[in-house]
Amino acid sequence: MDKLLIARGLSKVYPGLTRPAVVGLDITLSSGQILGLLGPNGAGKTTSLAMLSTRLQPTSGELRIEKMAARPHKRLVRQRIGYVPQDIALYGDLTGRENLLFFGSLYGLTGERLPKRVEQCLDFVLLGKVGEQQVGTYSGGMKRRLNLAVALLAEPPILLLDEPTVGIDAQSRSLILESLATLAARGNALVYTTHYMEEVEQLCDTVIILDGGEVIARGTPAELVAREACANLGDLFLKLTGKSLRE
Amino acid sequence: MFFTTPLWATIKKELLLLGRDRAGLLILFVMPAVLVLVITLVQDNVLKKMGESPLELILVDQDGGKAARDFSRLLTQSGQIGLRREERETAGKAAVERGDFQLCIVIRPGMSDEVRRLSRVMVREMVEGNESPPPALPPGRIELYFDPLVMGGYRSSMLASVKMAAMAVQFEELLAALQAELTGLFNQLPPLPPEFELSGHTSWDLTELGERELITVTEPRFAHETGVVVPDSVQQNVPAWSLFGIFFIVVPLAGSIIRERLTGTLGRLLVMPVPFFVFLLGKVAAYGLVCLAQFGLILAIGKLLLPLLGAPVFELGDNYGAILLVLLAAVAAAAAYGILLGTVGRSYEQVSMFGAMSVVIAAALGGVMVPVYAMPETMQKLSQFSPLGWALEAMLEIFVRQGGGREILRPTLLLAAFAAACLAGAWSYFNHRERAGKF
Repeated sequence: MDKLLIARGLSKVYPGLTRPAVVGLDITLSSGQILGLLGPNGAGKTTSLAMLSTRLQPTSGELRIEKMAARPHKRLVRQRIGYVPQDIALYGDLTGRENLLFFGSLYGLTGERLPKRVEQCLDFVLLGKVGEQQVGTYSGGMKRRLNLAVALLAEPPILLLDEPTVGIDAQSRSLILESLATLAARGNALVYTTHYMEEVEQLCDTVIILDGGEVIARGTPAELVAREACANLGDLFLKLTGKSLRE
Repeated sequence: MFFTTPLWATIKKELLLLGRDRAGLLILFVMPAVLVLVITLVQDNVLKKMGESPLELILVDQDGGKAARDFSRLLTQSGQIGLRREERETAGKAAVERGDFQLCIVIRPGMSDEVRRLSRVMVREMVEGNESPPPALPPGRIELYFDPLVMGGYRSSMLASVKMAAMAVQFEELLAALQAELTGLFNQLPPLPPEFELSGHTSWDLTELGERELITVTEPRFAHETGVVVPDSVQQNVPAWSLFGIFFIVVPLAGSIIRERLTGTLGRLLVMPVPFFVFLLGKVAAYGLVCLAQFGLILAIGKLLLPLLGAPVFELGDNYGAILLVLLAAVAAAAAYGILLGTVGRSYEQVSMFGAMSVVIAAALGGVMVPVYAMPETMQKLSQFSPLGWALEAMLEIFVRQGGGREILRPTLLLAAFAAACLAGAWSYFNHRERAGKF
């Protein structure tokens, strides 16, 4: 299988701090794979995603997207990555369709391809009938689905998803998880962060657990659960990261 | 086709968002329109000097005689007027043309001699009861060169002060001549007999002395002032309040940046395959278009609506290139300031409050509400630091003083430098936060 994303020894030390936010993160992601990136608050998930999305420059390490080094080919690399932020990163005063038209044009879609792709994405997340409504009138689940649709506009082979199901109803969550599984089946590679362990068990082929910026576990969910003799991934997570509250 | 390029897409997006932000539109269009209407009508013909500090005028005394000295003494006697003496007429006029002073008074050579001679002639004729008309001696001359920006009421009060001082000089000279004449007459009389009794007297009509003007006060125009626009509240207020409206884009612009940051949209934009400056350029272009529309609206009010309400018509002139240049510089300065506030600010409430307040303060300092020359000295010094003041200075150069590229160069460059400084500050702060991972 084609290796779509290769990260080697990604580390980040923020200016003025001595303790690194992320240390030596290695990821290799092939077509159709879904990687779950787990960790308590402050573990380094957001920093890792920021480096993988090229928003943040790593202090050391290397990132390659479809064999292209990320740093010198930032624009091309960004074209190949779809990013779903944790926030509902949409314009509430624009309609769903207007949001997609705007973001689609930023991905370089032009001419007839743009509205065609917008309709495909709206249909994919089952929002075709409400495309003319302002996003501010959408329910939380509809906004989450549109948030995902924006990331799909350029048909990127890699998707980075930062807690895409947080705070929504069961039906929308189910739809999003099904959509992600469909995308993986079509050959997309996904990096998925969440605090819902059952989602990871349901969706991910591989799991990386981060704590204090370091990788403390890596493997398939079944392997990890078996290795630590836990009942499920949730128990495993608490066993490895402890029960003390994180700020 | 919509959204065919990222820049056009950003402009379109911003205009769509603005179009759906009714409160923002209200701020941008209705507020300056109402302000220009209300303030112009209120100020029309009642604009007066409001400052309590002495007014500094330039005096070029080409005469140097007693009457000229008396004139300057009497003019400054009230404490409301301060005189800066200038040797050369050209230097004095240049200071007024630059707007550094509002009035240059030139006392022409020979004024004192002419006033003295004319006083003597008039007194002698009165004493001798001569019925023939007085000889045609040229009266002494005082010329006033006003800054074209100085408006109705204020101009009248300065003119009245000058004329009053000139009249007082005239009376002093007449009294001196009368005293000299009477002294001469009494000296010619023989000693009075001891039994002298005042049984009758000769009457002289002194009112005649006050009827003739021995010093003329004129208001010649500067050489370039032919066809100059008469300064009035409309010529002052239309550019002033349209600039105020332009600078008010700070509030919705900073607000849109804050909203994008707080909703996470900014984070999404930052991982798009488009350089970030394109988004900023798109914002500036969209808000710039709004500013042009806003400017057009205020001009239309000045041209069409205000005359219907009894105010004078706004004269746009024909220096469109200079107007556009100043307009673009003002838009750039306002947009850059909005970007800075949006970058540094933490919440929409914070930037809307601070943005609005800072624009109102800059407008007040810059002479939008009260002309700078009518402010106390300290405020006049502070007004030098107001971007709105620079923009207004440039606009008034065009609309009132009929200035061109050379005259607007300094304020336009200041506006451009302000815009560059704001953008540099915003860029530096933004990069610092990004590098620190403060998303």
